[in-house]
Amino acid sequence: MKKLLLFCVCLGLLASCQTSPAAFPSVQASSSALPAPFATIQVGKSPHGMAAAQGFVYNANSGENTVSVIDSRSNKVVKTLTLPQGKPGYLKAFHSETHVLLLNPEAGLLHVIDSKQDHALLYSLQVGQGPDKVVVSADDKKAWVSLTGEAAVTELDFSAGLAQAPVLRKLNVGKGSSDGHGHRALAVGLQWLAVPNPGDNDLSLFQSAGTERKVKAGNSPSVLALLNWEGADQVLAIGNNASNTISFHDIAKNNTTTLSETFMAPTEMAVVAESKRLFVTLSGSNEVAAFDAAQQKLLGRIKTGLRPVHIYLAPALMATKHEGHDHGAELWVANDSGDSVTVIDSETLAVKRTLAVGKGHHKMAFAGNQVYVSNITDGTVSVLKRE
Amino acid sequence: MLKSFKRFYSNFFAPCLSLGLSLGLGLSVWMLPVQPALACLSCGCGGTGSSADLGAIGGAASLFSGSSKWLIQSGVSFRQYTGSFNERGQWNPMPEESLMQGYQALLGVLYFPSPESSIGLQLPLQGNLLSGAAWGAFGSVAPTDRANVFGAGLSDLQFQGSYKFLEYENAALAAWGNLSLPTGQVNPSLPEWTTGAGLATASAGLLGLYKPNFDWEFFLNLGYSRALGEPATTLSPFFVGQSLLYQLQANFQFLPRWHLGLGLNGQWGAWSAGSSGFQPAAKLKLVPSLQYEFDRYQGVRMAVGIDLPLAGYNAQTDYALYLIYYQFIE
Repeated sequence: MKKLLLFCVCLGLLASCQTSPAAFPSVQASSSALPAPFATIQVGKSPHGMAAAQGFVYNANSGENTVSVIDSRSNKVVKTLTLPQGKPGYLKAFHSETHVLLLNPEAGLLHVIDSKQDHALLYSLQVGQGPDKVVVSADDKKAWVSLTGEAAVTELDFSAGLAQAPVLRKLNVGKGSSDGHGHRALAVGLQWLAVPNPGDNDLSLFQSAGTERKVKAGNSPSVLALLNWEGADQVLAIGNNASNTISFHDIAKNNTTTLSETFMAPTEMAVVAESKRLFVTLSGSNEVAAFDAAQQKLLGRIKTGLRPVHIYLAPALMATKHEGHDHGAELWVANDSGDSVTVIDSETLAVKRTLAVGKGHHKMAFAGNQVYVSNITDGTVSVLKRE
Repeated sequence: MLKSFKRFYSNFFAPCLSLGLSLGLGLSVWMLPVQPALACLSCGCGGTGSSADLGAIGGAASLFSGSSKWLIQSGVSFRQYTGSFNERGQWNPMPEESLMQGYQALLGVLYFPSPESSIGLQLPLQGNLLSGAAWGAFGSVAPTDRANVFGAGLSDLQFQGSYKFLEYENAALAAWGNLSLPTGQVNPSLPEWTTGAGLATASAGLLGLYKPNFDWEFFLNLGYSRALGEPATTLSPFFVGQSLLYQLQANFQFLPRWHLGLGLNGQWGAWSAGSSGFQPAAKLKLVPSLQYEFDRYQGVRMAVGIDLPLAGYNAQTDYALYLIYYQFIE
């Protein structure tokens, strides 16, 4: 009898591992009540990276080796670029939007696409292991690429023009992630470049003159932004993902202050330069936190959809460009699990609109008065109209 | 001198070890030659749900094995994650609209070569249900956009041994050791399939018992553990490192065959945090328990583990429920 009881208990405990996940609540929220996209464009597998240049929108299909080129006038895919190896990742418009830089994490390449020459792939460069993000200098002549698989950032100097390959230089920084995966952010200011070092749990701050500084903040400093005013970089804002905190590093004083409040899973940052405001998506609490960077003070928290990850400062529309400032600029927030986009007024901190998009992780690109949102699960790009 | 600490350790292994040891001790107490039928199982169900959660059973059981040659134990546990502490000791709840649960099943076999010694082996299974969240670095919880994903598999195999070197009329002291092998999976891309620590861990300690009278018994367990390697804090969701384990447990028999227990389990450790040096990793768990003995050789025990919102650093927190059946075989 005792042995039978023992056997039954063992059997029961083994069976307990078969619990059905369907019985538990889902994080997916319905977006059916929201205004539908203006158009939905079918693209390739797992569309992710986005960039706009010369009236075209480039979408990296990260599940295959293609890039879809969408004409913003017709909202149709007019060309599909095929990479000879690897898969496309991050995209960035460059050189007054005449070119697009495309990272290829698998192959360790940076591709240069000429937007004015029928989107031709001009050349490809080996930039290092796991290229993840690319930023460009204010003068549009240099680009830097963060590497997840190396303790380095690759600098590309295009001063001689884009017709020829740039001068490459590797800047030694701290360790990337130990498995070479994950993401590695990158921020550029007027004089400084900042990159987190996941393997060292700190950040590297570079000056164009060659000065390097290590900055310690909280745990897993993974998102950052450089804020400048009066012609100089002033503050490095840091989101400490594991600590759920926000730190501000005063560049001139070389000291770091971490706010006492907690901010659940800071995920990405956007800066409104003129008002010195910093906006941070908090994907753990479904909010965007707004800060006065000069005062290093929280201004407010704005509720978004479910899992806000990427945040974009929308370029000024033609009708408002003449005003010459970015007060009232819009922040567009992609809610990854909410299948929606939240539009925030950067001045009033009010939610202006919430719009439905497709399913999955989202990125955005802006072309004219239209916003293009990639939907990684659906294999589509949603087109939204700006107001 | 401290090495990297594995979060899994804090959440899973340390308390489990405590559980196992205390369970073993309790069993052993039950078999104390002094008052064998009157003692109660200790409960150290402080674990958070790893393979070792119900594990380390062998540890101290052999202290007072009496005439038995074998001890078979089986159990199940359920864990609901509630949040995490950061390095400043601030506690954060789970990401909104997220869920993290752990299910565990374990079979432990212990052999007593002599009344003073034991060797044991545990076969654990681990299941994880993740929805909107997963394990993050430094004991954090990271939000995700993946809903209702489930993974399960073999967790880390445990070998144990113990030796009782002091015994008095109402007290005893034993040394124990444990080796955890990385038989579970580690999958950073699909965290629900992560069922192990990813590297071997060795631990050792001392366990003491004091039984002043018929109804009461007290345990004190102190241990030390370290990983045989140094995982990256950003790679594995379960960090095992160097840590001090401690457990204080009291049991009271309120009716014949029925015992109430209250345990306080914790660990204090550190892991390497890159250029930031070492950081503390700690938490404290309160474990009330109830035990019923069918007879001299077998019984069941239910326990609840509650992580306390204090003295925590770089660690996840949870509520846990345990059900354990044990049986001695002559």
